[in-house]
Amino acid sequence: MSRTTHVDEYALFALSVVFATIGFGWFDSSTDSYTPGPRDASTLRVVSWNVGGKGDAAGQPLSGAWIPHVAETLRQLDPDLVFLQEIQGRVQLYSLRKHLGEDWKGSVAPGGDRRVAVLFRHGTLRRWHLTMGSDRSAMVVEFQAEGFPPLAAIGLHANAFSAKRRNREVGRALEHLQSHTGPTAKLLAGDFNLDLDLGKRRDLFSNDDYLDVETYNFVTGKFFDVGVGTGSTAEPDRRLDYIFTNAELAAENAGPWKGQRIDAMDHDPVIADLRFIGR
Amino acid sequence: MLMRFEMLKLSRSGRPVVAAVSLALFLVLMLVGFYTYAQNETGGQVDFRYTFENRSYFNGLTFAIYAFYFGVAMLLPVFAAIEGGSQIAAETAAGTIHTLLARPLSRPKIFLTKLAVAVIFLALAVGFFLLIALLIGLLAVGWGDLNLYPGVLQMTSRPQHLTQSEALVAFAMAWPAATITLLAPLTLSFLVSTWVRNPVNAVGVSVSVYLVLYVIAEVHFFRDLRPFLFTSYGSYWRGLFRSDVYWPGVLQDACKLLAFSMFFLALAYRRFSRREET
Repeated sequence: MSRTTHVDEYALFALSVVFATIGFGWFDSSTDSYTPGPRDASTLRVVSWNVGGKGDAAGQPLSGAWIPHVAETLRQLDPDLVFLQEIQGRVQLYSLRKHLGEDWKGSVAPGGDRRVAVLFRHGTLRRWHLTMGSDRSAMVVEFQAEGFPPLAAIGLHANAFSAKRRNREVGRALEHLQSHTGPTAKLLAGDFNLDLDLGKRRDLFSNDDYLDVETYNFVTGKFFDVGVGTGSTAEPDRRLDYIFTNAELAAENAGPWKGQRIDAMDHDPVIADLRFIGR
Repeated sequence: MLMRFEMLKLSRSGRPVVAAVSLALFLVLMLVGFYTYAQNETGGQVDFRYTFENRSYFNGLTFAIYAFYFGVAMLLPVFAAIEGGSQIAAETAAGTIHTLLARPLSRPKIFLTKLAVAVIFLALAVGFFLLIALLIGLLAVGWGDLNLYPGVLQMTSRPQHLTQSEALVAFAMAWPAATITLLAPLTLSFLVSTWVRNPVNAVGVSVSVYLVLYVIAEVHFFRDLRPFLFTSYGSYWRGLFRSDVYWPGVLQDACKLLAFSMFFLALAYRRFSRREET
C-alpha cells in the first residue's frame, strides 16, 4: 500500500474530526433558556403560573404548604398582572395575598376546587367570567396598570385529558377576546395543556397531536406565542403554559422561569415583559 | 477518462431512469394524496371547529416542500443506498474490479472517481426531484407565498411566512443542503459495498441500516440515542424555510452530517485500499 493511500485515508479521518468538532463542539445553538431580570420601566410584566401539583393521577390544586414559596417567587418577579391556575378558592387566594402584602389585590373565577385566579397591583381591574365547562371558568379582565394603556386579557386552564375539549375551550376564549370591544391590546395566558415540542411529538404514546396542533395553529394564526423557543414549562419536560398576545403588544423578554416548582408542584411560572406598540 | 467511463456505465445501468420514473410516480401519488386529504378533511368535523387547516394557505409551494420532506427522508436515501451499494460491490461481483486494477489506475483514483460519479448522480436526483415537485405544484395548484405552521410533519416549530421569491430562494438552498443530508446514506452504502461482494446484499444491508436508524431517530422513546445517529439531523434543511434563518444551527447540523459522511468514507477508503481481490 502506498504512502499516498495512507495520507488520503488520514485526510478523510481528519476531515471527519474537523466537521465533528464544528458540528458537535460549537456553542449551544438552542434558545432553550430564560431568566427573568430587571425590566424596563416601559414594559408590563405578566405572569401565568399553574401552582398545582402532581398528587394523584389527576393532580392536585395549590397546597397550603406551597403558598409562602409562591408568594416569595411572585415578589421576586414583581409582576403587574398574574394569572394563576389550580387555586382552591377565595380563602386560599386571600391567604396568598396575605403572604404577598397588603397592596396585592385579586379575584378567583367560579368553579370547583381548581380555579383560575388573577392578582395585580398598582392599577385598576375589571373582571368577569367565561364559562368553560361544567366545572371551570376562565377569568376575563380589563386591566390598566399605572402609566400604561389598558389591556384585555383572559386567563384559562384548559382541559388536561381531552384534546377536543381543550380545542373548544381555547377557541372559545380566543373568540371572546377577539370580539371584545374596549382595549385594543389583548392577551391570552394560562395552562393550555398543549405540548407541541417538535422533538417529542414523534411519540409512540400520544394520539392527541393532531388536535393540539390545530388548536395551537388556530391561536397563533391570530396571536403571537411570546415564549416560543424557551423550553418546557412543566414536568416531565413539557411545554404546557403559554402567553399569547395580539399585535398591539410586543414581548421584550418572555419564557418560563425554571426551577421554581417545589415539592410536588409540576409547573414553573411563565413570564412576559410586554411593551405596548406605538407607545 | 475513467470518469467518462464511469459516467457511461452509470447511464447504461438504467438506474437514473428507474430513479427518475420512481420519483415522478411518487410525486403524482403525493398529489393524489393531497387532493383526497383535502376532500375528506374539509367535510363535516363540526365538533372540532377551531381549526386553522383550510385551503387558504395550501398552494404549489406547500405541496413541493411536503413532497420534498418525504422524498429526502424516505425515498432519496434508498436511491443513495442503491447507488453507493452498487458502485464497488457490483464490480467485485462481476469480476470487473480485476480489469480495472490491472490497468495503470491507482485504487484511490478508482475509489474517488466512483464516489464522484455517485455524488453527482445524487445531486442531480435531488435537483430533479425538487424541480419536478415545484413544477407539479405550479401546474396543479399554482404558487404563491409559503405559509408554514406547526404540524405533524414538524416542518416548523412556529408559524412562518415567506414570500414566493423568498420561498424559491429557500428551495434553491435546500438543494445542496438535502444533498449533504443524503451523503450520509450514500457513504454508508459505499462502506458496505467495500465489504460485501454482492451488490444486492450491499444495497439491502444499506437500506435496512438506514431505515432502522431513521425509525430510532424519529421515536421519542429513543431520544438519548439521537445525537449519535446521522438520521437525527437529516431534516436540518427545514431550517432554511424560516422567515429568519438561524444559520449557526443550520451549519452546525450540516457539519454533523458531513462528519458522519467523512467517517464512513474514511472507513470505506481504508477497506478498499487494503483488501485483497480474490
